[in-house]
Amino acid sequence: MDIKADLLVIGGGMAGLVAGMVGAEAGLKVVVLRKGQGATAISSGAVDIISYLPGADTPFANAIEGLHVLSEVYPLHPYSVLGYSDEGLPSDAERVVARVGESANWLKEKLSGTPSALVGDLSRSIQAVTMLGSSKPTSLVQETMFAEGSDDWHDGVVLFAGFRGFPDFNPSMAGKAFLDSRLQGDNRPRRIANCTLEALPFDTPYNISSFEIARYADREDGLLRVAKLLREHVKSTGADFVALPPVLGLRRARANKAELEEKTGAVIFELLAFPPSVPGLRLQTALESTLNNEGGRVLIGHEAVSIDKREEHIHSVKVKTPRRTLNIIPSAVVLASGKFIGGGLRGDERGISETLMGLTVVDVDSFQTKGMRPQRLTNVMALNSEGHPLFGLGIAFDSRFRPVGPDGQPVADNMFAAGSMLSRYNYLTEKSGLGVALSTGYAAGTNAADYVKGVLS
Amino acid sequence: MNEYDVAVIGGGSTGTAVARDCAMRGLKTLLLERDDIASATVGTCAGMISSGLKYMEEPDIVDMCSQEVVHFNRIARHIIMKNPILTPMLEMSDLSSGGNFAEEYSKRSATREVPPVLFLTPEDALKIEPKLNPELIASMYFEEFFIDPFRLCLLQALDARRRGADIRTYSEVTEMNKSAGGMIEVHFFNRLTAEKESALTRIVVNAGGPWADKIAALLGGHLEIRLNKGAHVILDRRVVNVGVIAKAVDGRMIYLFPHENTVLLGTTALDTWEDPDTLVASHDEIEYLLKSIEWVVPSIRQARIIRTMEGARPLVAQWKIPEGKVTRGYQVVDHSSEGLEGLLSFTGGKLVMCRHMAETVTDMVCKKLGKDVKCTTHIEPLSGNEGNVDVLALAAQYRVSQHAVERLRARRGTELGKVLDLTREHPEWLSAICTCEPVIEAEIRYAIREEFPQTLNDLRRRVRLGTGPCQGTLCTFKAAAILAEELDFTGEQFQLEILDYLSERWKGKRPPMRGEQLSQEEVVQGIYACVGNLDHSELRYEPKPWEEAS
Repeated sequence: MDIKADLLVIGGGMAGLVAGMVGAEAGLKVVVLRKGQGATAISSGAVDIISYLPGADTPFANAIEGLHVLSEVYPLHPYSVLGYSDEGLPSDAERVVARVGESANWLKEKLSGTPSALVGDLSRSIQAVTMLGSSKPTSLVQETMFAEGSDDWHDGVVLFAGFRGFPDFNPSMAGKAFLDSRLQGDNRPRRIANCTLEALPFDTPYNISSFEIARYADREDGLLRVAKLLREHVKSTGADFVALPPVLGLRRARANKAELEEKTGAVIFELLAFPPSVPGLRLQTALESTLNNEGGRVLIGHEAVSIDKREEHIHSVKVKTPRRTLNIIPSAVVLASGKFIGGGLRGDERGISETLMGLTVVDVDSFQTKGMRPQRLTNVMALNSEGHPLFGLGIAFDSRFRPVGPDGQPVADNMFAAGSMLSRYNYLTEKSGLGVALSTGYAAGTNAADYVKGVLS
Repeated sequence: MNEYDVAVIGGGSTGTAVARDCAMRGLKTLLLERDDIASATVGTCAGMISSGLKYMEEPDIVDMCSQEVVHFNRIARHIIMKNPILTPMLEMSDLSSGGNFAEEYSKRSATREVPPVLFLTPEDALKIEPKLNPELIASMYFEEFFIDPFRLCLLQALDARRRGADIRTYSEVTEMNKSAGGMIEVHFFNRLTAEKESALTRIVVNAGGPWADKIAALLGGHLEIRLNKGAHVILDRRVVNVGVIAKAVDGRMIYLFPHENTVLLGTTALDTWEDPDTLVASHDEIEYLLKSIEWVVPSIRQARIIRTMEGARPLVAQWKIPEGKVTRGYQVVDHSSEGLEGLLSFTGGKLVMCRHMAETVTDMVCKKLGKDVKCTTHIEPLSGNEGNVDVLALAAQYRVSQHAVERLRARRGTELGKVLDLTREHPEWLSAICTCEPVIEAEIRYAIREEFPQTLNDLRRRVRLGTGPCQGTLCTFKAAAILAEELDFTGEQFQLEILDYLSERWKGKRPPMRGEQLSQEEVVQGIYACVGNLDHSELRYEPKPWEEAS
């Protein structure tokens, strides 16, 4: 079966869905392929912009500072590329900030009203607390993850509340770690407390997942039960803030937060999640339904398996599901199939490659990594502020986010790329994952729309 | 100062067996281990309690090993598994090597209650293991027993403790000197409290394995060992259900053994002069193993490699012969010939011989102390070996998966009742913390309370936490919180524990990184670096020896 589309997006995470939304906004017929669940759906659900320079111990004061430093120190970073003029380098930091800010504001507007509505902006660093009790500087968090007044914990009592039978979160240790990490600093709460709630979605009090609690919280009886239990603990501990694992609901998360705050009198917030992640899925779902509302189509379980390239132009893309094979004939393509989690890259002892077309893979310094085995691209320390070069790999691209070959020339005139499959940055150590996905998805989607409309040569 | 009859140095298979034997014979016993029980050489072996496959030219040793297998099946049946083994042969030259082995093996098979060696047609061999290369011309079939090496060492240590021995882990011997009355003063550094301690003993048994020469030297003794390193590649599941033994690229024999939920591919053998603490598998070792086994199991590279492990064999110091020709027997060196009365050191030995080694040295110790007590370590069972366990009934009764109960049984035998009992008061402890293995919270709590682990790595040795395909991706933070809660850690210690465990897992994951493990590692980095922000923490992390060495 042949399908025609103005814009075909390969990859249904943050980068691909944003590109698709931009295309749909521009009036294109958009088809997004999502093979499975990628990194966005298991992410913490916070949209990091940029918090650290690789190797640096102290975070940037805010994303604006970070983007300025990046465009100077890493002029080939995907963010920096956003600051190029039509002639390319040098990168204009003000332009980078403006373009990243534009995409962030655009996303906030798109998601307002959804369960994963975002708060925050580039001028402010939010110290989000994680399930381990550690803190992580980020720029945009979902409303349910935001604790009003958390810039200053002073004089506040913070209650860490867990759920019986939900072993992913230990309120007592998270609370201790939270306090320990603040002993030296000046932003520390007056007291911490912890409690374990007996709110069982099923009658078995073990092996409960965050999703089960979230669905329970979306039920009226479930939320009432949580509110009742929480109220007692807030009362007995005098808590001003309640840190919950990220389980506030999938459909009604924001309303649930408001209701709990009203019933307990405390500020309720979700901690940053690990997979399986309720806020991650919330974000994924919100992005998909927004795209759908704008007329785009997401084909779930569809995998692009081969490309028919004629001259320097993508003619069609063969797509498979377990049941059928499609041939999609697009005017333009955005490739956003992710890194290793998403399946955009793979590697073995013979080297790292891009999975769909064998695109050129380069490292942070733009050197080709052909034939290099993965182990050579790692450091001896499991966790370190430099990060592993392995995760700074990706495909080579030009100033319009078109994949390029070893000669630096675009692989096809109508193909653009976005998200974590891009090279020259390491989102894990920089804390820039969804931010780069967002702003490059936005740029690639815009470029693709311009191409389809004939604006772009 | 505490006084002992005997101080055993080293908490591996030999040291724990010696401590048990000494305690059983009524000697006042101290065991000093620098790290944790089974944290070095024995923790990197395949657990095979071999009938003597690799040393058929030493018939006395083969006899001894066969007998030891019988003893182990009596005292530790619950932690033993039997694996059928195939030796697929692809060329006529492969055939010629099997003759002597088959004869020697079959001579002793009845004692161990296994069939004699069978010769199978290609069709029959493929029926047993369809992953074999269909080009094979014949295969031998025989059976070997495998024991959980971590549980064996731990059970020996616990049994010794129950009988009055002092078992001290994280106690590193730093100095030894002769003292009045023929006593030896042993100084050791308590790594948990960072304090120096000492004890007086009449005899020191040096079971330091790859460090035995350095330990002997503390008292001025001379000991030579031939240190030989070996690597295993670990696959994520039982890609074969029987063992496969084949000739490697250089004519040595290597194997693919199902081991717990995984498969082990090993081993290499390289003489080494490195610090055993810093050893990691090399690319050459990994490719040597894969290339070698690929001839008989052609699909092996499709399997998911989760990690490597590298250990150091403390061989008897025989030189100018290949490693394979060095005796697999052991030696007990009595340093009294050097004027060091009371110091006994081991070199050589295999896992299967650890009880025998203990019996020999304890006989010598008793003689020196003028005691005449018979050895009973081959008769009295280790804890958990008391009877059969009805896995299906327990799974139904506690509403927990049959697989989880069976894995619990494989580690603990009848002792699993005590673990499940904990869940009557705390049903939430039925939660699976490590879902790969799986390990339920009750077992982690039980192990922390009864088996003196200090770190997550210690817990891994006791319950196989984090040893599956995800290598601790999803259980590290959960288990760290439980350990921290039970041992009353500070918040900083809790997070440091996570870093320590990730670091140890990384040691083995890093060398073979490829395929699916790249996305697995992206998830690990996503959780602990990207979200957890532990890559930018101010924790006082101390680099590990292998990290410092590179």
